[in-house]
Amino acid sequence: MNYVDLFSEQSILLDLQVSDSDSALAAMVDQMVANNAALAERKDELLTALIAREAQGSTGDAGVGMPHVKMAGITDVAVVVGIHKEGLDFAALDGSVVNVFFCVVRPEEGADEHLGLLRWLASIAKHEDFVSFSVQATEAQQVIDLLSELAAA
Amino acid sequence: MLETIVLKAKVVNSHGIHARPSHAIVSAAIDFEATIELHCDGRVADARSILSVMTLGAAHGAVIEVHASGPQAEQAATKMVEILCADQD
Repeated sequence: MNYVDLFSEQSILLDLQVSDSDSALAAMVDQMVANNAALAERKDELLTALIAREAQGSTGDAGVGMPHVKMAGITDVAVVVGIHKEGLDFAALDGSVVNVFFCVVRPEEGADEHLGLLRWLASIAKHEDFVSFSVQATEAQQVIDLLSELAAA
Repeated sequence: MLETIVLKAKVVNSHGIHARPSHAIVSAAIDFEATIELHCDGRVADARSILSVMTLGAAHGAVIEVHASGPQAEQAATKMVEILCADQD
């Protein structure tokens, strides 16, 4: 699977205007359900699950957060990228603020595929230029191009 | 030259080393001064970084070599093996 295909201009939030991580998750869920009829009715459930999941242990590291949950009854992976220019406290173990969030919802099945996606995202995220380039993006397509470029690097 | 302790562990988690086990690994690793690397299938990860650990993409049954050197290397490596051999799913 080409994971870049999971991203569209509608799945990129270039400038999150929020001041805490729960609000960031809420904004990304809003964006996700706006483009996904199957998730629209389960918006509250999704947000609650994401917040609960992060409470178990932050996915933040090196300026990037990967809040993700699995949900029964959905068939496709959904992803939203949220960028916060200044960075938010996401309880990252390395103490960094998080500038770029990958919010991922996946079906209950397909653990190996999910592991592959996390590995792909982590490989891109730990590239030294990823965060600084992401916060400078002024168009969604630039973020998608960055993902493509770093995926091939 | 510092001695490197190398221990092997097989991933027990049914869903592999996804984010939650990665968090457990990093949470434990940062308590040690030792340098800890996880080797899996030709890839090497810094046990102090969630992003790095997740790039291993280690599935259920994968064999991970823990390489630890420096202060408390043996305890650090043993702790890593303990976490890798615990089912956290």
